[in-house]
Amino acid sequence: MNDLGLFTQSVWAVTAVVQALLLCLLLARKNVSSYPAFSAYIFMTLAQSGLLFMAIKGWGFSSTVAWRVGWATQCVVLGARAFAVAELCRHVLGRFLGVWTSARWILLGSGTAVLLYALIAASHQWRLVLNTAELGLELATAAVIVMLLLFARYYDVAVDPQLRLLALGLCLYSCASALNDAVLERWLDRYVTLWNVFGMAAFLACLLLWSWAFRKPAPQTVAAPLFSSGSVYLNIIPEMNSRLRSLNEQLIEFWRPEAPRT
Amino acid sequence: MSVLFILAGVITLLVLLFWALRGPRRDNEAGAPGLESSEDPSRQHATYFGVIRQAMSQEDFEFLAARGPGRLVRRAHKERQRIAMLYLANLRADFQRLLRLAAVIAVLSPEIAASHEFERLRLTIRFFWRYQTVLFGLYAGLLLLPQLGGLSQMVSELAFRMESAMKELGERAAVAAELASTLNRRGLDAT
Repeated sequence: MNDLGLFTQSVWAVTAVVQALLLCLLLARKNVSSYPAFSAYIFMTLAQSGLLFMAIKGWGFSSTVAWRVGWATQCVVLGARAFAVAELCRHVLGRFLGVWTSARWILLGSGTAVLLYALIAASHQWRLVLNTAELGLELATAAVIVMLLLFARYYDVAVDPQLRLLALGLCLYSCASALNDAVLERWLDRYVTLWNVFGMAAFLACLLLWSWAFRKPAPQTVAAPLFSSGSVYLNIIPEMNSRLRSLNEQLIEFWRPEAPRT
Repeated sequence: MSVLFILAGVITLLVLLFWALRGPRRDNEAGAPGLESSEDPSRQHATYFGVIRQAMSQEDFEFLAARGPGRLVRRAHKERQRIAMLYLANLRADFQRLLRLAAVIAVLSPEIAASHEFERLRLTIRFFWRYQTVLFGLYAGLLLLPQLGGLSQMVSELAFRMESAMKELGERAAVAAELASTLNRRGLDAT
């Protein structure tokens, strides 16, 4: 354990305590039923901390066992986070059937596109294959959350403050992890302690953000909106688009001084 | 180089994240888009174009140019520009309100067509790009009132059509509520 340094150990301990507190908060405020995937994610991060602690204590920080335990648990945690993000998306847009049907494919598509971008941009190296995969997944997660919030803004869907904080925490942590993987790991690989502390500090900040978000029970589930007939949309929207197109043409006319006066 | 690409990606995502999280345009309890956007279209700025046009008639300006001193003509021109810019800004506000109405229709629809949605997104981006260009033109001294009139008329028509749509939605909701109420009175399960 001494390989880690006292400061890293302290941050790790504080993080574990906050993780446990957040889990208790989720249980006490009965948020587990509303956010099962997110609760499972927090539980898994706590379990990961415990397993890593035992592995490092038993075999040392630089041992193969600790490395394997670290990456194996990280795969599980990343999977759990993907489910937590999917849950977030469903909470924000799930009630609006039409929008949700198109949004989920676009979210999935944008996530895949960013994953590919990250994998290509990271210039594949076998030594860093796991880091590259993680980096790609982190960027894809952040992209999905950003797209979700853009969707909500475009369709003027109000996002509950609790969900906003949840989204903010998940996105910021993904961005921090991607930076960690891309910059610190590759350029500053001598500074393992710095890399660890940066990652833990980012996660600790997000845990505090989520604890603040979940200090109250989840808001009551809102009834599904009363949907209009599909024909309303099909009749009005194409006409509206046509008028918007004409409106755009009118704007072009502004640049034609010789345009006939009407 | 690869790290720079990743860094650019992260920065882009962070900028978009904070832009998307920037104060909600409207909050309400249900989380659905606000319906207050369907306010009386007769109060929209586009409908004031007649008054604006009268105040800025070419004949008046020519008369002033022929009889008045140069300083007065320049001042009148500046005032006309200022009014046109204010009017254009208000037209944009009307346009945004109408787009919100379209969002309400899309959100309350059980199915939407991706092609229509992309088309509207594309048109919206183009409109706002061109709006900025026109605004720049006005700053540069151009003032083409007839075209502004065409724009105004377009927005008014759109407002009228949207209002009809919202009325139709309201009527449907009322019928659905009445039906549910009747079923409840008869002790039937509507689900």
